[in-house]
Amino acid sequence: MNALALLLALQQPQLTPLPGRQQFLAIVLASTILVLVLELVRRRKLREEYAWVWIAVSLVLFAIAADEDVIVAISRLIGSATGTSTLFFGAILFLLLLALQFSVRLSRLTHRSRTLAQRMALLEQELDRLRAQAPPSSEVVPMRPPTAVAAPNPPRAKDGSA
Amino acid sequence: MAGGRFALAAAGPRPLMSGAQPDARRPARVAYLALIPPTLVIVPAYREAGRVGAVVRAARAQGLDVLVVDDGSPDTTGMEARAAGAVVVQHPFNLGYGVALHTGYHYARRHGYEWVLQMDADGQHDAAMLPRLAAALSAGADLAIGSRYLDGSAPPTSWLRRCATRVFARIATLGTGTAISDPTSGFQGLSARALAAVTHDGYPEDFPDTDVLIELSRSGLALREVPVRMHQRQGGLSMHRGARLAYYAYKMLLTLLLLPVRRSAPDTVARRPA
Repeated sequence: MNALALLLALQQPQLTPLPGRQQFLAIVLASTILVLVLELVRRRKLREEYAWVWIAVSLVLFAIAADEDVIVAISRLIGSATGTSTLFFGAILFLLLLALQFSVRLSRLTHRSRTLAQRMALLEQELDRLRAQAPPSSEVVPMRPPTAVAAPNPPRAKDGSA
Repeated sequence: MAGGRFALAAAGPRPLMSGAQPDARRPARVAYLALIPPTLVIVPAYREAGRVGAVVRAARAQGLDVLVVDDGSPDTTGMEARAAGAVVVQHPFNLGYGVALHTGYHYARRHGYEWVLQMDADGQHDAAMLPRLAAALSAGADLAIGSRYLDGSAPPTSWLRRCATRVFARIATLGTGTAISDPTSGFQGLSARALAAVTHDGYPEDFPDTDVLIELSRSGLALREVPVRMHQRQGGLSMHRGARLAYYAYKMLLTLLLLPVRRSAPDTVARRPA
């Protein structure tokens, strides 16, 4: 009997719209994100390439806050018991995908900087060799000879391997 | 087989290094050198000041050109290597053992070397064994692997490391169809065909071991193990220490699992024809 009541309760979840205070908070949050993102783009600290995601986030927040029925409809659709858990679920999913996307970008950047370092190292050696061979010329600004002591790298906190 | 390779060697550009640096310590041509194509010894080095010089001199005494890839060492590794008669390519920061080798492979290709012999900078590998690797390549192998376990004179290591070596030796043997006893050996020789197969960007950054052996064998190259003498490392940092062994096992298993289905990587270090 108890189990049946529970089952019925699960099938017909009590979905209440967001109270007014939560609605107000959502609008404040959305506006803050929007202003912050636009300001960061203005100061050239955030690339447009990344900014659109955050602009989209604030717009979605606006939509949820403006129309109370949106969150209720989504909750029905995915079968969540309350609007709050729908919000949490959406937020966690979004952050997870975002983190994955950043990992992919980081892998690409690491790979690119590695290739650049390798090509630069090969070029530097080639340049040293050519400069050592070339007859002295007044037009060529002499570079620091390869035998000179280079400024030592700052000590690393963590040892990498050779 | 060998004839074709030597014809290839004659057609390619000659290395720029030999002759450019007259060196009194360099002996009169060592006999086997007349029989092999232009060969470069690659020595990846990170924080090997005090050790790398002797290694370079020993390799030079074998009559070979030596390239030291200084992997962003904060010490005098690069200077010592250059003073000992090596060409030095210097990474601006530490990129990893595999990347240092990878840079060396590209140097070899850019400068017209056909074969590459690679050895560690810490004195573990005996330069007197270099001709053995070259001999294996001459005999038709594409990848000659110097194994410390074939003649029973391997320097002692920890119990855990021995176990891991045994497991990966088994995997390498199964994966390559060739008996492999020392899959983590960095003491190797590469033919021109093997060299062309390791210059892609997918070459592992930290531990190029079992996965590379299996990859090369899958692309139809002939592997052969050669017994070599190895010494205890003369100080410095081992790559296999502490938690790194666990990471090594994870990384190797993931790589091996994905090996058959992985996309091939491009080669962005090589210059494209303009």
